[in-house]
Amino acid sequence: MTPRIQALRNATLEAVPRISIERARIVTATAKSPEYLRASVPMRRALVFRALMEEKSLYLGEGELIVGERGPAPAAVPTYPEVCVHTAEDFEVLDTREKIPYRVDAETRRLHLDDVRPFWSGQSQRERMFRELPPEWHDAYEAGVFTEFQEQRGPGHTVLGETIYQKGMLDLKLEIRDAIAALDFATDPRAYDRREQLRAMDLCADALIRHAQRHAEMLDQAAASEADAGRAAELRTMAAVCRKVPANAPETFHEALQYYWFVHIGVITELNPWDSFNPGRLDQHLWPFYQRELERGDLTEDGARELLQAFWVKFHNHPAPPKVGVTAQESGTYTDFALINLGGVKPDGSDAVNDLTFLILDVIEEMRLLQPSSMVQVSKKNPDRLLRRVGRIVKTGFGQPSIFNTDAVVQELIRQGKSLEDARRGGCSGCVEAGAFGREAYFLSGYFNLPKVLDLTLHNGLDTRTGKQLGPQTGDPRGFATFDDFFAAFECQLRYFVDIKIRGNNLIETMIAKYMPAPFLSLLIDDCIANGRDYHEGGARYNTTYIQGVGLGTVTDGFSAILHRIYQNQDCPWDEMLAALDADFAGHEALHHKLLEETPKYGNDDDRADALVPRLFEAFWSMIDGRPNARGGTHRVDMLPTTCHVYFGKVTGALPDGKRRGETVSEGISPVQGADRCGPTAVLNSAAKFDHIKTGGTLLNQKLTPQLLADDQGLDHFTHLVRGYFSKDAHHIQFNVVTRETLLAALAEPQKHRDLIVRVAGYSDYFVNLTPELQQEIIRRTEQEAF
Amino acid sequence: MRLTKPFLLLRLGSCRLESFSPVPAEKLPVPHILLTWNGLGGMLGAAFPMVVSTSSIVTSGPGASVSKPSSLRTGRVFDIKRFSTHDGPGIRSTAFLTGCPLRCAWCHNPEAFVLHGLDDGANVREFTADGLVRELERDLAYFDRSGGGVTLSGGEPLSQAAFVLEVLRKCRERELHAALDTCGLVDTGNLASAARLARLVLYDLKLMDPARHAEWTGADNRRILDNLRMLDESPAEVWIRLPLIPGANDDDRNLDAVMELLDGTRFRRISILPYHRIAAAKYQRLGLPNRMEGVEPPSPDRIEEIRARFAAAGFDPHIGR
Repeated sequence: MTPRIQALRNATLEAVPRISIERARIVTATAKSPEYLRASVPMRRALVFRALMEEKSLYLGEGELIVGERGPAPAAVPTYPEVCVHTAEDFEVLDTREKIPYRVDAETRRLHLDDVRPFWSGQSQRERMFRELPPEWHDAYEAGVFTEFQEQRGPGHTVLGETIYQKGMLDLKLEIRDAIAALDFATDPRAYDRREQLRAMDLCADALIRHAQRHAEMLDQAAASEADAGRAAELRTMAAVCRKVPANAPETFHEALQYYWFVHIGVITELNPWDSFNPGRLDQHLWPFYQRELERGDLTEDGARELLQAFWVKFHNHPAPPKVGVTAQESGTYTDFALINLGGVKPDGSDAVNDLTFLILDVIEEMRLLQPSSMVQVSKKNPDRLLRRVGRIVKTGFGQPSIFNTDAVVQELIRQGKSLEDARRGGCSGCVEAGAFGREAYFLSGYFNLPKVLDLTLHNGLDTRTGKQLGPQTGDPRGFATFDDFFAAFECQLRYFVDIKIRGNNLIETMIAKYMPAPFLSLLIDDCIANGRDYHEGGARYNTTYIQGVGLGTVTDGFSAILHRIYQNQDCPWDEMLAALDADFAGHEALHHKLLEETPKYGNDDDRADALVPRLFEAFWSMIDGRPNARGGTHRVDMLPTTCHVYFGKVTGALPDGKRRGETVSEGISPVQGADRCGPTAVLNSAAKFDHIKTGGTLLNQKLTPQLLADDQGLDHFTHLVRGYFSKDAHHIQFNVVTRETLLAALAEPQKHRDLIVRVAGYSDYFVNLTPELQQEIIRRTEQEAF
Repeated sequence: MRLTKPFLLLRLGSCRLESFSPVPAEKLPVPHILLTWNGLGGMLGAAFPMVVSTSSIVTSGPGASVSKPSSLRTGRVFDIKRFSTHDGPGIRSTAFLTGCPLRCAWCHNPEAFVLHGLDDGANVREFTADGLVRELERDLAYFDRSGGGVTLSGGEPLSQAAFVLEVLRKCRERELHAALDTCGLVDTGNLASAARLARLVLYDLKLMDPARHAEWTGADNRRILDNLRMLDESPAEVWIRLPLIPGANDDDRNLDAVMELLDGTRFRRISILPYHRIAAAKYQRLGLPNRMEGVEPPSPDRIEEIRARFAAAGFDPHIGR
């Protein structure tokens, strides 16, 4: 690491996340202007974007090579009052909470309360949505049956494809001009809507060019007053880059990175999409530039490395927009889920791994930063040395990169109707979500609490936490003569809540399309220009809405207990079970022990429990997959939790698997924490017993001791373990390599372990920043050792 | 993760082997064992009281058969370790069978001492050969990619010889790489048959001096060395395993003797298994006296020194766990 990168890295690690009011002030001022008031909705959004690109303050860090910040400085995080307008209490909580705080100074608070909040109160997307959603949606949401992604943030999963590496904004403007020229008001009743959308996109393209121009001017000024001749020349080069891109297509490695970064800043300033934004297949996009310049002698490997490292710092400068309430609980982290994809296959299906793949892996290992997150796609066509290199990074114990099965992801995407080439150009974003990069608007809509539905089924639809009749009355379990009768009651409850969620999703999506288009983002995703439609309105080639199932392990073990104890062995009648659940197992210790220790559990390759997994998955999946969303696309299923399994556990009562009231539910498709006792291969076998290809992503966590990866032989085993799991069409696996002793030490003395990074769900985080529940959970996740 | 192998347990006082063995007594190498046993029966008899019990057999676990009278076609397994990576090549599933003719002081699987397992609640399960192979085969996906397979260990697997031979035969039929982990103190005919069926034999050597061997393991090593010579003349692939026990067999004299012996064979691959204390808790739980109390595991430097000596002598040494 060069001294420059060392300094940039230190600076970003030391930056304290704080709220910046700048964006909110610009947005509010724009929204009061006459030009805004007379404009169509897409043009209003474009005017806001233009004002932001023209007015927001610029930042140049000491020694920076890539420029552009969302806020006035690193870790200064704006608010998005048009999406969610914070209350005074929200700011108080953000400023003072122990975990994941955002500092809010008095001036920011004053400006927000005097100027921003009065204007947006009642007008934000969040309030608009909540006014329209029906009572049964609110009831289920408040009870914790599901969460809602769009209540504080824009829809996410916006991964870029190849466009910007081939086209400048000026090229896109030409396409827009042609699309407007082709509009025919005589035959197209949507012609006006399309023209407004296209004009909005055009304005956004100009705005980004202007934003880069402003950076060029700043860099020239800095060069003029720079005493160091070397740095002055560097600044002039950077200014030239900013004049070239994003107006024109990039021709160099540096230009390609800077172009992406301007686009990234544009997307995360326009709105606050989940998963920030993501360059996707970085080793593929940059390879032609790298190869060409290296051959010409214009770039060295070290030069490319330094640029990439400077690029990495830029991601880390951007903590996630602040979340409050349930959203903070379901995803309590500064990580904003930009997931760099490496490896995989080319559009023609051949091995995509190149020298740059390995160079970027070096950067990931050396930078050791939470953001950007990174993953490696592993196809059967990729060499084992890719996996071995990954193993060497994984064993350093910061949870990156995660590992994905390209061959499964491609099958998943094809099943969803993507073309073969589009599927091969795709990958995974966020935590584990499959998508056709650059061509798909795939919104995550919310986590779905499967254990809560079991809880409700056990109590005839009654929410024992609130005493409210939440679900339909499917019957007292004592009246079910067979296990199948009970299962049918569960399916009835599940369908009831899935229907509420899907109706809510379609309402919300419609409102977002109508009130909150994203014309800048729409520029970048095929085929929004050709369709003259916004990214939020179905303009992309593919439009998917995901519902993410949570707690598969817990719900499976719960059903296993009901099947084996109540119906098969008949050693625990319903009366006893229900009494034990009501008492949270107090006074029922013998039963609790039997449920925990002597009842088949998912995660042990034990078909007695595992046979329930496909049955439960199919029930959930068949109620969602293929149902229309509001954008001409379809609903699909993912199985991932982020940190929502902790929140879901809190709102879910005692369950027959032995879970006590409030205890965390299982995460992803991992077994209940500590329930797996037969080693990693048994976990992988259990996890592969349902059809991952029908999902858009599954998440499996494994904790390994450092010894397992200590030597070459350990790396062999790691490689074969992953290959074996992927041979079963599994989607994803990620590893925490840290000892229990280390975690306990960090718990005891957090100040000495500030740098301890662990894998949480689809991302890594500083262990000491996690909530106590998550810390406990990570300690409890079974640690697999080699023998 | 056993340091040692075996020991057929013999008999003590009036207890007769056939009264508890699932394998008919005539199939066991009894005469030999009795011979070696007599010399030191007193001490070991006290150290390892025989416990015979069938009450701990678990019948509800996956793959376990319903408890029924033992026959030639069933075997007893006290543990199955999946993702086992030190019992042969690749990722393996290792089955630990009960019964052992030796009583190594440092044994890490003392629950194997009796054919039926000790009554400590250990998960002794009874399998048919088919049932065991099916259970072991669950990790085939990982065997296939890693060049792994299954390992039969113990205890001494050949103390259930008929069963083990049947399991090995099934592995052959199913193209499953099988390794036999043996202490060598077994019937030569059975070992020859097993070596023909297994793809790999893991063969334990402990002490070269017969008297010291008897002192530490309860039996002298003559048959073990004879059987090694038999294997040397067979085409079997053999990896030697040497538990490295401070104060017992880690002296230069013994190590030189091991090298000298192996020098006269075609065997070059040797796994050095340094003593560790993981089994101490087992001794406590089983109420067995632990002769290794207070013994420190060898230092990494010492292990490396010994590895280097084997390497310098032209062997292919590996450090196991």
